[in-house]
Amino acid sequence: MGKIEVKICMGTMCYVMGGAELKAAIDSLPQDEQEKIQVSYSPCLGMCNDGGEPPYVQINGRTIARVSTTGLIQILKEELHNAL
Amino acid sequence: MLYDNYAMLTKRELLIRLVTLLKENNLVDGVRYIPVEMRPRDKKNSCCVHKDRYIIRHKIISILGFDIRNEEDIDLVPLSHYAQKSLENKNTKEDILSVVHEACNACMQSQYFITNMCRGCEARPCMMNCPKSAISFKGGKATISQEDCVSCGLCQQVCPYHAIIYTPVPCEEVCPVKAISKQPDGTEHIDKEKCIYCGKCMQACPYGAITERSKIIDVHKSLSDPNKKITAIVAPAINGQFDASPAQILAAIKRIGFDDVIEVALGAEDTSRNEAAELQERIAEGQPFMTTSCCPAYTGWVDKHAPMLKPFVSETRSPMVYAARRVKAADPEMEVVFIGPCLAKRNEADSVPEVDYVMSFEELGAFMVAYGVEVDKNEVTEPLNPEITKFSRGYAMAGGVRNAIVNAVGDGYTTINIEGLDKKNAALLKAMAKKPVAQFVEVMACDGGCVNGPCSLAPLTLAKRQIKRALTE
Repeated sequence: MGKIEVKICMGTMCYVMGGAELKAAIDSLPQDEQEKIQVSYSPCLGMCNDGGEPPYVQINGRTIARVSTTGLIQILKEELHNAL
Repeated sequence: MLYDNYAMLTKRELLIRLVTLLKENNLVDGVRYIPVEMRPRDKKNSCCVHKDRYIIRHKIISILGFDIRNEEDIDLVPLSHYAQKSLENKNTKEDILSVVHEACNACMQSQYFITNMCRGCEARPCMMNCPKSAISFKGGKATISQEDCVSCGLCQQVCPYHAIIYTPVPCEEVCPVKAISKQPDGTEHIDKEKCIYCGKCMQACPYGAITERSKIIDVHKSLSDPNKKITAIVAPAINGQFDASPAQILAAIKRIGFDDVIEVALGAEDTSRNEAAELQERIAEGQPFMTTSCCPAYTGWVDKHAPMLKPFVSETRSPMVYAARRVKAADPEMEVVFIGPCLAKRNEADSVPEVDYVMSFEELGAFMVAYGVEVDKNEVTEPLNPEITKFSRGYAMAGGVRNAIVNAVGDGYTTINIEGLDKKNAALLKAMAKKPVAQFVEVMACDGGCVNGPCSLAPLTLAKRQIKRALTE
């Protein structure tokens, strides 16, 4: 089974508008779940220009806007479940 | 703790939008669109879009530097007019913290309340155990007479159905000095005679109704004026705010357009040296103990609420003051903006001539967004100032000042550090005036130290880890 790829935008806009919390949320996941995901922190993905909805996250290539910590964890749980 | 919320995001979005308009030289024309852009008609996440826009309008006026209570024709004066005025005049707003009354929800007076989960059981332990006989039964359900209730909470503890809830007023609940309370109309008022500017109420309000004085317009004016020079002095807690090395973070801040960026940790070198000498001197003279003085919420607390401790507070200045002095000594024309996680520093800066402006990390974040500045983890940077030791960067976390002082004076002194000014710590500190428990006492008003300041960008767990990493690099 391949790992779930999670790319969190660490551009300043995303970081200020909640991305920092997302990073903290990922770090607080239990070890066994952390092992199933491949997290990368990206410089600005360029998605928030002109009325964007930061913070942005890409999960297995799917772009998700305005992600909250609980939202992110929810999506990850679903992806983990689907991958079984 | 994972704790993000929409009130916090609204505040940050407002700051970003305002600084972006400033940067584009379009504040006067563009400001009026902010309420509608932030609360468009199709969003379903609020009960009344018009009230939301109205509140945002008031928050903008507050950030622009106007004291809402003193603005008589606030509903008749267009935002563009306020923007124009704020650009023309120096921001002279006095209140560091103010309540935007339109946003204040006038929360119900905190109370114990019996919900309809009450089964009216035969045991009725709530009624039997209430020390004030405040509980009676009507129609088979308990009610609390609010006149008699003293909020002891016994009824809640003994109810077998968990039918009794406590409804707090969040801002009042967290205020360590009871400085915020209700006016007759139910909205909150901050008593300046009591407030120590710890910022707890501002963080706690679920409506974001408590705003801090902002100098973003003045700082922008200095940045954009070719005849002015401005240096940013940045608090040690900055190293927890971004995922990059201290040098890379400083380089990013400089790209906003500051003439220079200096670590306040440089001033902490002076604080540690002077405070260590002061401690040795005071103990030698027979004084039983000394406390730190670098936390302005703590010194404000001593001034207003614990005068018996005053003789024991160090007279050494804070790292902010020493850092600013160094800048002004090298160039008296240079303006100095302190950037940190602290609300009370705005108050401290008012009392010293060396610091011209104070900005929060949140406002710094807004500047970085508006000026298109990214923190680059791969950037090759200039080396950091070799004069700064890890002890000075350690001021960011509780225990850091104590470590620095122990490093300077050796192990011969007893030391403790106190985090937070909750009831227990306040009592402990006051008792020390008569019965000291250590010779050197570090006091931080924020639990965890500056890293947990009320104006931070990064959540505490992340910030702590990033600072620890910066200290070991």
